[in-house]
Amino acid sequence: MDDDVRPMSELLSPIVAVDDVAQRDDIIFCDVRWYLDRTPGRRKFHEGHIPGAIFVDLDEHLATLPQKTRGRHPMPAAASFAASMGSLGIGHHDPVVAYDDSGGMSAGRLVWMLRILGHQAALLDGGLGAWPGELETGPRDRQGVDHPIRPWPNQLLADTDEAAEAGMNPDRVLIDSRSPDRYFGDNEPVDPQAGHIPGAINLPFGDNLTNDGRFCPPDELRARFEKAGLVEGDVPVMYCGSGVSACHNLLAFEHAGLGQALLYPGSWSQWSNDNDRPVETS
Amino acid sequence: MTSDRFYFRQLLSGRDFATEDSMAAQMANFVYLIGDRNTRDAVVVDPAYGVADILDILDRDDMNLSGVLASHYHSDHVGGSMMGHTIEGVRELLELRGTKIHVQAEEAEMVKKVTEVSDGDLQVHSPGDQILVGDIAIDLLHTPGHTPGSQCFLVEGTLVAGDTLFLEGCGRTDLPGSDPAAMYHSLHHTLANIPDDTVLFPGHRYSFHSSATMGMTREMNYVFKPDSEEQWMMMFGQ
Repeated sequence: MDDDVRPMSELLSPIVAVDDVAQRDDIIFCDVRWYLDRTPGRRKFHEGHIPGAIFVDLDEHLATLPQKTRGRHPMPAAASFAASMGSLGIGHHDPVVAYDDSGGMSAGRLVWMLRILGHQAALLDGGLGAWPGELETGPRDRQGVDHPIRPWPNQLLADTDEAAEAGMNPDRVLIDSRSPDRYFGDNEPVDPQAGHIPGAINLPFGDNLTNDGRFCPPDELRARFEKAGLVEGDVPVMYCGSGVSACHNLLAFEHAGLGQALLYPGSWSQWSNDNDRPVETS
Repeated sequence: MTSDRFYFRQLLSGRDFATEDSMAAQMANFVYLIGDRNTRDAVVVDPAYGVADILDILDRDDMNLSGVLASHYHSDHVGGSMMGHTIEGVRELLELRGTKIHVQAEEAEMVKKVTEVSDGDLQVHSPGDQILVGDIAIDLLHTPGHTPGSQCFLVEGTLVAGDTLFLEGCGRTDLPGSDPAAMYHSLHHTLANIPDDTVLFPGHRYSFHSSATMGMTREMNYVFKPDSEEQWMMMFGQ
């Protein structure tokens, strides 16, 4: 264990309230706004962000090149991710609180990637809208820092075969985090086939949130997973469109006290591009 | 597999150093710092533009400069005068910190000519040499094509490639001293055995992403499409 890791009492839970972090000067706020319609998140960042926050680009920093055989947001190589974090000015021991304006849909990816590497990182409950003070405008950068390369924990990453197996094996659980219309194949705005991976259950990430956009309390999150059939000790595989919003569910799972689960990063964007893979719509 | 003691930083000119230099920003050169966290030894790959800034970064990281690796002699990588521009580089760095510049034998004369350093400043290498930075081993791969003595650096699952290979495309082969056939050999033979999970770190930011695995690069980069030297020469020969 490194000697400068923060004591356990200060460890960040996956979801944090703004009142618990707003006054901490050791935290790096990361703005991870991203939009499926290609609206530039960086432009929104320049228009107004939490004072001192830096912009993290989902496509540039949190994914490598999109490919049909790997999906729309493949995990970057560990060395690439470390180089990105270093260039953004995030050291391995700097606690990170990430936010967006979509309930944590895109910011959750950064938080999950950092947490599985043992980094202190949390999602800001309520996102940008929860910030009580004035916003800062214009660009904002931090000086780059050394960020050691840490290998991805492969036991928390599922490939297509493992996702398929999780759907078909009655002893495992496969969770589709997309909206019900995409799960049932009624609507598919971006991928070549509509539907879901056979055997997957549908737990839309948006249901982790209350009507005011805050996370449900941990006991309610736990009840949600249990109602879907998960039992203590289950380690589900989670996916979504491209391994982004599934991270919201992964963080909710951990926040509920259920531990760590697996991400299938390729998700529907990889599965639906493979014509040899079956598609279910019921 | 990457060792915990592996120190590795990718610095972009005009963004991470030489921030007031518009040419540095336009050229988008990557400089790399490679070292051993235990011994605190580090080398710098291709220092150009703001060498004092680069040394400041090493100092902030409490790393001690133990050498310079030159991927090739062009002034945007080692400084000096070329094509009407004068860029700060290894000569100014040597004035600030005495150290050796590691070059391939075939590049030595041109490095001296462009940067005005002396024979005694150079550590001349043969293809396949390995150097140690602390206990971190760096393999020097001679990859001619862009220039006669271009070299790539293979270290701890990363390939620091200079202008031999970018995420998209490769270094120009229409410049004086370039050799398209040699570039084919370098990319399709010398680099052919680099594992797919090795991560390519290029000499310039010419793509949206700043690095990518060799596996992905081989799939996506058009320079790997030709499957014979004949096809290659039809695409890239002069």
